[in-house]
Amino acid sequence: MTSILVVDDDPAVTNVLKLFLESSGYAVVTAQGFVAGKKALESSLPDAIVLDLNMPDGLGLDLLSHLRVQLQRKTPVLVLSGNRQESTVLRALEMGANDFVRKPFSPREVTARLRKLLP
Amino acid sequence: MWRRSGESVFGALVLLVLVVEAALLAFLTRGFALRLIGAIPSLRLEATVSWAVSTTALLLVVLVVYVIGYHHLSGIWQRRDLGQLQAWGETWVKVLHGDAPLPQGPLSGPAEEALLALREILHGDEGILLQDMLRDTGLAADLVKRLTSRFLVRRLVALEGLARARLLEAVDPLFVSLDGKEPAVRLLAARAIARTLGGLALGEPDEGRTLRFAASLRRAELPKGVVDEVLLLLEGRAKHLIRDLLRDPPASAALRRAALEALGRLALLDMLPIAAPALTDSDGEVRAAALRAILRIGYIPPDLLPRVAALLRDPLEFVRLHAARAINLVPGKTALDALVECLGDSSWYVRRSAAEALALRGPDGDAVLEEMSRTHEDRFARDMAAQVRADARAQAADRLSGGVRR
Repeated sequence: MTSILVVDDDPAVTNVLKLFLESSGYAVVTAQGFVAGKKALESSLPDAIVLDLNMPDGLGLDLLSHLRVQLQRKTPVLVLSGNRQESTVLRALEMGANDFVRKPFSPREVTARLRKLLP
Repeated sequence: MWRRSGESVFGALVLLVLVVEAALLAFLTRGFALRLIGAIPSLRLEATVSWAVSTTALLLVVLVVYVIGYHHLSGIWQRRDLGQLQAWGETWVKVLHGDAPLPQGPLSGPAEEALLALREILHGDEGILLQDMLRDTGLAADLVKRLTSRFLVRRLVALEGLARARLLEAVDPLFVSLDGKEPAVRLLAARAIARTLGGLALGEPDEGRTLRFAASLRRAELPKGVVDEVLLLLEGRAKHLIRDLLRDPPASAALRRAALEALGRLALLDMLPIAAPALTDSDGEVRAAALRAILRIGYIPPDLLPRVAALLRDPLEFVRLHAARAINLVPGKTALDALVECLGDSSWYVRRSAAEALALRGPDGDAVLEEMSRTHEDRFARDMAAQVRADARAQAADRLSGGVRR
């Protein structure tokens, strides 16, 4: 079964994505915050990642860099963020994010975009 | 509520301890004074001291027990609230997904919070469903009703909730709050209206409300930072408002500046002609804001070029600085000549800005900088050109060595 890791500090986001993605047939693991996300990245091999950029205990961009540079993984990453700065979006894409969805978001849109990213 | 009451009780307890301790000290002082003149036997003084010490110890124990008990209970209740919030979050997601029936109102605090948290992060079909859930549970009407509460905190919490709920039917009551007396209420009302209007689906009519919002903003006297935020929250729908704030009769300088900042940040290229009069505004900050808008958009329409060029000789240093940066958007010799002229400016910042702009123009700009570092008639201009060239070379070397290291 295709597995997806959702990293976000907001339990409302992880809850809603878990339910919608699971109902679409994916196995979902959630991690609330940067530290939990980093641990989950190091201990598992998800097929795709949904990543929040702004978390109280660390930046999603740092997690993305950790994934691409240190762990040398090409796992598709969909960035989910309420940040409206165009530069932040561009930076995330430059650092290897595969797609970007802004908050507030539609869970159906996230599911559709993830489906496109998955092999 | 628990926190507020707990802290009030703690304050009262500390006051009681202080009063009792002051009375004890006074009593002890009197006892020692009487003993000094031999008016009381030492045995009686010792009894008084023992009594005072034991009372103090008792009071300290009461205070410590209270503090420990307060934090212990707070921890228990906080975990209970978090658990309820989490449980309600899961319930609402199930309702949204059609896996559970809609709970009926009135809702508890955690239920309200969880529903609003979900509404805050979702739009599209699920966002519309959540709006219906807010209405069907009675929370939407309740939040609007709370706007008229006589308690300020209750009104502020309702405004925060309505900003998250983004309900169109709440906009008219929010306008009433925006015209209110308290600055905090006006601020939160402006934010709630902006989030609601900014979140409307494309194609929904909004011009009337947006223009009403502009009129209210003109009256509300909000800080510029708040107006900046409000305009950005409106996103694509900020156009009507920006147009209104820049038209005659002009809004206050702070609002005009905020409108220009939003125009630039939202990259509203088609609205640049509206910013033209701001380039000759009587307020220097407004002229600078117009130049920043042009810079953010990255384009100077040809008919605005003479006005931008004229600002290179503005009496205000910070306006000339922005003009030097903006003129760099123009390709060709016109900009090069203008920047060379700016190199001789009386302000260090303008000279630096002009030299950096030249350095950004690649080989052409570097050649001009090199020539100016030798031939410019002004010694300070020559020094600045040489310095910026050296800095640019050092930065290029850093980038190169960084690339090699990687």
